[in-house]
Amino acid sequence: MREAIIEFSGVEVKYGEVEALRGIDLKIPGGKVTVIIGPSGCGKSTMIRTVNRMVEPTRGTVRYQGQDVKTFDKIELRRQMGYAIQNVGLIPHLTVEENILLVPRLLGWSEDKKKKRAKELLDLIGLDAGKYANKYPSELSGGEAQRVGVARALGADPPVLLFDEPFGAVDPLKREELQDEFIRIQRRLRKTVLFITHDLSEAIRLADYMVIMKDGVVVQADAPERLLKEPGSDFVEQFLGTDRTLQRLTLLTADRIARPLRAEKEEFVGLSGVSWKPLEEGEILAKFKKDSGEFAYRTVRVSIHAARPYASLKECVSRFLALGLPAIPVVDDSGKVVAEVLFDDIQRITKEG
Amino acid sequence: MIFKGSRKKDRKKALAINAFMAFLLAVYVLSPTVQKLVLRSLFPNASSYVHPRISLAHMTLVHLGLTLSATALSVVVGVTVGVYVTRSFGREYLPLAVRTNALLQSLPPSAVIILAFPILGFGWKPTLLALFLYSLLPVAANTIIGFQSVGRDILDAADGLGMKEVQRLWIVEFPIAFPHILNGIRHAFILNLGTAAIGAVIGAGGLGSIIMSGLISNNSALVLSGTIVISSIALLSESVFSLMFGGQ
Repeated sequence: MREAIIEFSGVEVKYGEVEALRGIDLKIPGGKVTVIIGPSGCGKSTMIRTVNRMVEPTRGTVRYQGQDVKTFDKIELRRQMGYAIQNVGLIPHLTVEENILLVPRLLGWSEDKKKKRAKELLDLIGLDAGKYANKYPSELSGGEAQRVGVARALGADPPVLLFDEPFGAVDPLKREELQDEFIRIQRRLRKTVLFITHDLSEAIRLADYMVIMKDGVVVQADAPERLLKEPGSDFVEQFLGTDRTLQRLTLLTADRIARPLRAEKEEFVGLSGVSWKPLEEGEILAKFKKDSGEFAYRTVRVSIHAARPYASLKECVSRFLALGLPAIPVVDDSGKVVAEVLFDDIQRITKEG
Repeated sequence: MIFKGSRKKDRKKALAINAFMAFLLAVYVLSPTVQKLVLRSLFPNASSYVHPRISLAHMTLVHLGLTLSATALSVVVGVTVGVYVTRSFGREYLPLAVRTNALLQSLPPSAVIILAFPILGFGWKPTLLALFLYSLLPVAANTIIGFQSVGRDILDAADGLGMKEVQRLWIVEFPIAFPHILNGIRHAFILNLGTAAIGAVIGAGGLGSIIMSGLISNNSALVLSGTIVISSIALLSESVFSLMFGGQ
C-alpha cells in the first residue's frame, strides 16, 4: 500500500454503555477513495467522525500525516478536511455561492479569490454559475442540493474529504449520475476520500479500497475486486452475495430480455399470451386468459405499468407488481408497444445470480 | 416579476393605510376637541369626555414609555437567557429556564404590582417590574424555540466544516432563529401594551388612569377613550411588525 495518510490504531469509542467502535486498526491510503460500507449501526459514521474530532476516541489514536489528531487544533483540522453528509445541511438563508464559499470565508480569503473559486466549484459540479450562484437551498432539487454539499466540502480545496453518504438522499437514477460526476472529479483532484455508503453498487463503483464493517469492527479491508473474489468470511460473502443479485437487476435493462411481439389486427401478441391493444394516449388494453379459461381485461397505464427499453430490471419488477400480469409491455419513446418482458425471464435471471 | 410587482404594490397600499390610521390616532390623542366630538356622538349623556387633570397625549406617552422599556428589558434578558441555555455549555440550565419562565408567566401582574409596592414604592417602578417579568416568557421561550429550530444536519455540517462556536452562532443559528425571536418581541410588546393599564392602580400613569377614572365615576366614555387608544396602538404596531418583517 502507498503511504497511509490517515491511520487508526486500536480506536475504541464508547457512548455510555454502547460500544460504537471496538478496536479499529486501519490505514487509509492517500489520494485514493476508501469506501466504508456496512449495515447501519456498524459504527462507520462514528469512525470517520473521529478523524476530524467530531467524536473523540475513548481509547486508541487516530493519526493524520503521522501525527495524533489530538495534537491539532480542532478548528484548523476540520478546515483541512472537507465534510459532506447525507442530509447536506446547507445553510438555508445563504445562497448557493455563499454556502460553497463558507470555508474560504472562515479562512479569510479575498473577495477576488472567493469569486473565482465559486465559479470553479460550480463548474466542477456541473451547475451553471449564472443560474445557480444566487439561488437559495430551498430552490434546489435533492440532487442539486447534494452537489452543492459536495462543492461546499471542496470549498477551500482540502486534501482530505470526509463523505458520510453524500448521495444518500436521492433516487437511484440521480445517484448514479452523481457517482459519475464524483468519479470524474476525483480523477482530476486525487483527494484522499473517506466515503461512507450502505449501497454496495455505489461502493463497488467508487472504491479504490473498500472497508467492510460490522458491529464496530473492520471485518475486511481490501481492493473491491479482491473482496468480491475472495471474501474472507461468511459475513462478507453474505453481505456481497445477497446484494449481488439485486445489483445485476440494476445493471441489466429491459431490452436485454424483452421478447418480440407480432401484430394481429390492432393487437400485439407474444409468448405471454397477453394481447396488448393500444388505446388512446398513454393507455393499453390488456386481454388475458384467467385460470378458469375466461378472458379478462385490464387497462395498462403506460406511465405506471409499462417499461421503457432502457429501464432497469429492478424497475420492471416494481411495474410487474403494480400490474399483476405475467408480463408487462415495453414501449418506445413515442409510446408505441414494441415488446414485452416476461416475469419468468426475470425470475430465471435472479436464480442464475 | 408580476407577482413581485403586485406584492410591492400591496405593501405600499398597506403602508398608506397604516400611515392614515396613525394620523387619525394622533389627531384623536392630541386634540381634546376631537375626543369630545367622537365620544359625544356615542355617549351623549356622559358627565365628561376628558380626564379632569391629565391630557390624553401625556397618558399615551407615559403608557408607551412603560411598554417600550419593559419590552426592551425583556428582550435584553430574554434573548441572553435563550442564547445561553441553547449553547453547549449552558444546556444544563435549559429545563430550569423553561420552568422559571412558565412560573413567571403564571403570576398575575396585578399581584406582582401589589407585592412589589412595599419595596419599590408608589409610581411606575412596580409596574415596570411586573410587565418585565410577565413578558419575559414570550421573548425567552421564542428565542429558545428559534435556536432549537435549527436543523441538526445544519449544525453538524457547520461544525464539520470547522466553524467556531461564535461563528456558528452568528452565521448559521441567529439568522434562522431571528424570525422566532421577533415573534416573541411582538408578542411581548402587545402583551405589555394591554397589561400596562393596570399600573394606574398604584399611580404609574398611562392610559390606565383614564380607564380607572371612568370606571370609578361610572363614565363609559372615559373608559372607551383609553381603550380606543390602546387597541389602536396594538393594531398599528401589529401591522407595522408584519410589514417590516412579515414578507421574508
